[in-house]
Amino acid sequence: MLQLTSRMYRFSLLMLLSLTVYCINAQANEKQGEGDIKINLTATAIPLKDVFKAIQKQSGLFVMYSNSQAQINREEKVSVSFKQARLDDVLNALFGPRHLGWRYSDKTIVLYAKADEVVETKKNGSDSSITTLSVSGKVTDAKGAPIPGATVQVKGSGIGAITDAQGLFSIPKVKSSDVLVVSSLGYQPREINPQGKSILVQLGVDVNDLGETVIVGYGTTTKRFNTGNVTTVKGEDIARQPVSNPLAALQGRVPGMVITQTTGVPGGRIDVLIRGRSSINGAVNNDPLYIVDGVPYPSQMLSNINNIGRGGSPLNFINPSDIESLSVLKDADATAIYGSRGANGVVLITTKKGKNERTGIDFNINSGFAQIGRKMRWLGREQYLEMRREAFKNDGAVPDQNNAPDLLLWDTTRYTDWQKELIGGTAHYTNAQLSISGGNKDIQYLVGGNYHRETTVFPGDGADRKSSVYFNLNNASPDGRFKLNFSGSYTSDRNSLVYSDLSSQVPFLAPIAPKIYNADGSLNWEKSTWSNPLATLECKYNGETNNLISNATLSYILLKGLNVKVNLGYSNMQVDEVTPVPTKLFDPAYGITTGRSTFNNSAVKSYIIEPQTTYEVTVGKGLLQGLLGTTYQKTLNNGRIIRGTGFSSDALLKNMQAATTLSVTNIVNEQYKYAAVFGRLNYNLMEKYVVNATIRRDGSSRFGPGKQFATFGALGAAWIFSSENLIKRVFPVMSFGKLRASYGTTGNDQIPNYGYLDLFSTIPQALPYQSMQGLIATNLFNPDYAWEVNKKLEAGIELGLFKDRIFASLSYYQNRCSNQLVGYPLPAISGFESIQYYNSPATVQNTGLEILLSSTILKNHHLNWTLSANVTIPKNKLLKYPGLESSSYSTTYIVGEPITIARVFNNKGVDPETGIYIYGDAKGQPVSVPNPATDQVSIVNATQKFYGGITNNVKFKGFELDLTLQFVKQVGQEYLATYMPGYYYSGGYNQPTWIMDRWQKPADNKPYQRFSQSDYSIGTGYQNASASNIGYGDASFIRLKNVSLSYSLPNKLVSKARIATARLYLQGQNLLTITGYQGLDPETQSVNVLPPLRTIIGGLSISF
Amino acid sequence: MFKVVNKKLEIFLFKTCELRNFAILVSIASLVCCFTRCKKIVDVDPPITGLSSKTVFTNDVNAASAVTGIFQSIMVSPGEFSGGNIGISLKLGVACDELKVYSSDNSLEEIYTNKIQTINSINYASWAFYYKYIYECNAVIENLNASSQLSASTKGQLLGEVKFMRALLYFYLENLYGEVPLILTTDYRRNSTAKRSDTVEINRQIIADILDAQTLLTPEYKTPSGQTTSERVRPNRNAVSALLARISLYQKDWHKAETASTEVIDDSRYELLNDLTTVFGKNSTEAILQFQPTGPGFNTYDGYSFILDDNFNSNSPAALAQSLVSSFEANDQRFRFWVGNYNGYYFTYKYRIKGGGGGSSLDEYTMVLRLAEQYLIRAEARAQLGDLNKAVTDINIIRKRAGLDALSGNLTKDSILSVIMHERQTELFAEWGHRWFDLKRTGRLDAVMESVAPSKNTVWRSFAKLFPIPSTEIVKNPVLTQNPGY
Repeated sequence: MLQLTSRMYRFSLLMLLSLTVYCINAQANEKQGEGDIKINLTATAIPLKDVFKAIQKQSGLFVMYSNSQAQINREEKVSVSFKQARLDDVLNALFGPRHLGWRYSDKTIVLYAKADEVVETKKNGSDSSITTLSVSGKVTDAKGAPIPGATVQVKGSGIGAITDAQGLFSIPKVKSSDVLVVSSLGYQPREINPQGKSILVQLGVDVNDLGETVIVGYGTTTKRFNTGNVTTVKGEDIARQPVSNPLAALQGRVPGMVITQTTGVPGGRIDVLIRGRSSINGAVNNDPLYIVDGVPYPSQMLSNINNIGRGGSPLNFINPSDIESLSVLKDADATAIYGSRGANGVVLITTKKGKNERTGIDFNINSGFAQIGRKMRWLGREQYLEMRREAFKNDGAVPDQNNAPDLLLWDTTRYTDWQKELIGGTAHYTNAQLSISGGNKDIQYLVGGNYHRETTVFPGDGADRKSSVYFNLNNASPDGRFKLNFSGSYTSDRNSLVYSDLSSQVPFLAPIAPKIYNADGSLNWEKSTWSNPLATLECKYNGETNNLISNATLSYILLKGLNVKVNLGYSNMQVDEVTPVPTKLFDPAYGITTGRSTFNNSAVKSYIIEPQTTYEVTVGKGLLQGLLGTTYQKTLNNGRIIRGTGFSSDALLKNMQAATTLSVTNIVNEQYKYAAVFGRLNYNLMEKYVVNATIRRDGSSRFGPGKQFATFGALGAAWIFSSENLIKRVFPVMSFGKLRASYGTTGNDQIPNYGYLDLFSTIPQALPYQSMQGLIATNLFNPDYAWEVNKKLEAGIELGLFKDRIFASLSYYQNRCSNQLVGYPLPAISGFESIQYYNSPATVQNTGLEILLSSTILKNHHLNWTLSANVTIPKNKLLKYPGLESSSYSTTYIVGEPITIARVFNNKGVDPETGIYIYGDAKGQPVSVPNPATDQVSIVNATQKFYGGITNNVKFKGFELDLTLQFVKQVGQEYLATYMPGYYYSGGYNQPTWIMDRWQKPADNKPYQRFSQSDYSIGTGYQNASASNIGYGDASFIRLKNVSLSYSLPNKLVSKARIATARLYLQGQNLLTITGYQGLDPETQSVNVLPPLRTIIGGLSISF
Repeated sequence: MFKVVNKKLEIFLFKTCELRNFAILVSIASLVCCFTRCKKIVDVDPPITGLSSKTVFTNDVNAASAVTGIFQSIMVSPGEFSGGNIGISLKLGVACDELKVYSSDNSLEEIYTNKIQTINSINYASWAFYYKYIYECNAVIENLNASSQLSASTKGQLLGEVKFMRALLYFYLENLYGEVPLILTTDYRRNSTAKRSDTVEINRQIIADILDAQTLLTPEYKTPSGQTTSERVRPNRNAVSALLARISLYQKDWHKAETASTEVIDDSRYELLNDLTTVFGKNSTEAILQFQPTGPGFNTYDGYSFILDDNFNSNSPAALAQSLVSSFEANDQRFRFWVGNYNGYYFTYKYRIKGGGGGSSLDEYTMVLRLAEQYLIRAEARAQLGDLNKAVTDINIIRKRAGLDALSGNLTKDSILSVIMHERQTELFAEWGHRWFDLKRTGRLDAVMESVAPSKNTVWRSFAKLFPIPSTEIVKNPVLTQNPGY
């Protein structure tokens, strides 16, 4: 940690230094003039006249002004702090806000009002003389920051102007009787009578959503002017949900984004897919790029040995309550700035920042519980016995102690509901959080800490504990030109949950299985007739993950409109795991006397440095914004898994030294380097027409020599047609209307490192051969693969009706992914079963329609009800695949069909004579053992047909109710039977109750095969059936994803306790699921994985 | 006034044009410069876990590691050549009339009943094994040939060893599957769409590799660095000749089989051991080639799987079939010492150490080629050539060691040949599929299997003499055709 911070510090120092040099170089070329004279002056509340004296003393220049030109009160008290400041800067700081300009003339500084007034008398036919004047001024927001691009118009005439980047405008020839209308989108318009010639207009922020800042790659825009497709989820919407992984809070909220929780185990893997699968290889993750405060964040855990969470999710180590907002970037316009990494979409996470407010303390505590929301119906005792006895009868076999210990040796009157026993418990959930924020105009800070503890529904006393600290610091120099933003978060997670997901045991335990513990509390092995399912509780797994994310942004306004900035980031995620396997885990009959342990240490470190220059200028009637930047990123993955055996005592299993043999079973040592230059030009003409162009040239170490660099880019445009006068006249109810379109290319370098090297590696876990450590070729030599290209086209329309009370948006997208960088299965004759990096000639197209509708249904000062709904209708298609027939995918894909299809056997039901499944072969002839090479003639498309969510928010007095429904229409993997109904192995196989609808005697026409305890063809029959048309079914569901009810205590009450706000709340997650799916859960589509839990918590939040 | 305007204009121009443009220029230039100058900015070092081929084949030690790695990797876990529950000895033993399966492993059950599905996992593992190590051999051969920095002696030894390995792999592959794709390069684009090659072509390649290996290797056993050693774990010239003798026998080239086996038998390094329990020990004098086990805590995986000291399980799934037990003559010392008995189940006890518990010392190596087979090869070749007396002499050497009476009297060629087959059955049982291949090459497979099929509760179908090509292979490479019958 110490080393880390010092490195970080050195790193930032270096950057600061180079930035300074950069600035000095830029200025050195300017001619040395009066403006560059250095001034030193620090004082608090001194009159202006004293400041003038000091300036005169130090520069030799006398300050002159005329009261008619510049209203200055010499006695006005000011506070100044100048160190080696340029005179120009000093004057700007003093007089800039007063709208005064200055010039140097003969040892004097002449102050003048910035807008020179020209008064002229104009003769007019009817009007003898009207006074017109030239009016200039500045438009700012409530905090004094300039508003560029605001419209200043003379009411009732076409005369007007648009403010420049500094918010300045000037209109010649304004009559003194005229009224100026100052408006800017996102702000409340104001009418001003131009009394003076120089005016300052402050606009209040419009509560309208359209003015909301939208965070995009390397900058911000507003919802109104955004040319791309970005969905933003606010921190408050995430905080309303009792989830520990922020991704889980996005379900049903982001059109075009499918989030699948693969397990209900804390910290478990969550799959994210933005706008469909584009990789033809099912094993390739189409993960989006995650950026947390400018720092790239891993999407996959590194070498995690504890697989209970199905690989885990790194996002689990980001505290949901630290998130200010989360933006999902989808189309080319939004993602092309991330070039090679943007193909699968980008998720930008912005953490909370300190605010310019009084010091405040926020305290939040909550606690609750969770249980599985759905259960499967498994055979009870009698049904199980019936099944087993029928199986023996069917086989003409007699139960003996080898094939039927359950019937002969066990107590057949026992009954255990294993589902209840193993996953029917209650998980507890505790969360406490404290944050302090405050600051003034120049410096703002936020410091917070969080503690989270979560258990599971399994038996045992394991828990997942997360503690995190978070801080943010913003600082600006007095002149506002230099800004620093520094933030960091550190999360420490300690996981002591049971080593394996006990859900996986449920199907393998007969309802009459023996008791778990003997009377003396030891594990019962029932004379070695079963595997005790709770033996795994003896494994005292311990996993620790420490995650640091830090980021610094330094920016400097070099010149008017020209800003240089550098973003520095460092992240480090360290995983430290011990998985002991004590002797207690095993049946003593096995005679295992020594335990073993697996130690896993791994770390992912990432550095990023991104110098950027932004430039803003008014060109014609529009505002041109430019961005130019570079990225340099380096990621280091290091890890090792060490296996120790021969531990003499179970108590020493966590001590590596106590092992008699240690072997390194896995070593990871990888470097990834990435560099890029990127640029963006955005032109906003009259706040009606916006064009946005992006380009990025990328280089990545994941490609071989000569293939490292590639260029990506996009063009986006938007037309705010509601600003056209014609539209305003014809459709007065339409308050907002925008058409937008974009097209561009993005890439994907999400492939493993070193793929191009033909590496010879050591052989893990092998003794030396002839005292020599050998090497073996571990990679196919393959230097030719190059960048994948994803072409994205998007068109959208956004409409606001009735003063934006109804807001609708419709987007159509078409993404085509070609030159795919995918693993390609090879026949084993090539020496390897797949090649990991291969440019496939296939082109996969994802198209879709995203519809978003939100409306304020009721709004008065008591009641506010908003409703928002979204739906996505995706479509996937394999557009072309030259050479598909001769490729290894020839029996997987069909050109013109989705890549989500599965080609499956055609199950023709149970043969009424034999009681086993029959299938149609390639020619439609019935066979009992179909050939996978030729007989997979049916096609199923196991994917979402449409999905979306509905969110309601009702505020009534102090109450606030939030309700989110998630709905998915999909086809998924169904569940038929566990191996061979009637067979016994280890703890016995239990079966779902529907299996009782089985074949029993010739001429029976039943959906399930006959019971058997030895006929392997029954087992094979079920294996084939899961890979047949009957293995798939409707897995659609509607889920009451989140309900949150809160009550803010009345001010009168709390203010007595010096509390600013106090809020009580109840939150529920996954409360209700409506589905026709047979298995455990339609989302996980599995019977042996813990389903997403139903969680209910209550809490209290107080701000001082 | 004019002056002021002028000055203002000057500052304006200066500020707006020069400085601004300059600043922009500097930014662009520095960014672009930084980027282009450091074209190597995205170059990375290879990981510490491996070396690129360019580094490996630049010095003798690393090159020797690459060859050693092939043996080390083959032997680290149970597999086709290293033995165990999916090894060739067990697999072909259960496929014919040597072993009976007692486990519930579906894949092994299919092999036992000769009803192998094309998705059989053991069969796939075996197929993939051959081609994985053929790739490794090809990669090493390509790199050795391309390298100019190695000493001639090292390069020669290593090339010889790898060519022997490639011949050995193709020998078994061809005998298991028939006409298989002949892969001789590392180019995955060509290899992944390779067709089957005919037997003539495969045999020509096997012989070419053997002849190369014979020229390149010496009769001495070598260490990776070329020193002479007593460890018989890398092929020498005798190992090559022993393989050549076997291949010639399979190809009915009796003369070549006789010459090649004689070459080995005449080498004083080898002698038959009278203590049968030591035959399979490490560096046994009977060994022509052994592979040293590299799985920590294990001796041979065949020992681990064959020796029964517990119930049958997935690691020890088989026992001797009655047909083999009853084929031993009375007083056959091989039955006494090489067959164990656990609760009435007979098991292969050639390897004496079960291992697997961890910590035991390494005393047994996996036997690949041994002298007894060479005597039996020569006996058969001589009998086929009509040299019946010499054939009987060779057979009697084997029988004598087994504690059996010498053959006597005038025997016909056919009866001698059938004695040889019987001796092969009892001498070489549960070793590398000898029985299966012997039945197959002598055309007796159908007859024998039909007679044992009822005891296996199955029906023998003649096409089962070849194993099926795994169906996934045909899916991935549609030009590959399935063996008939599957």
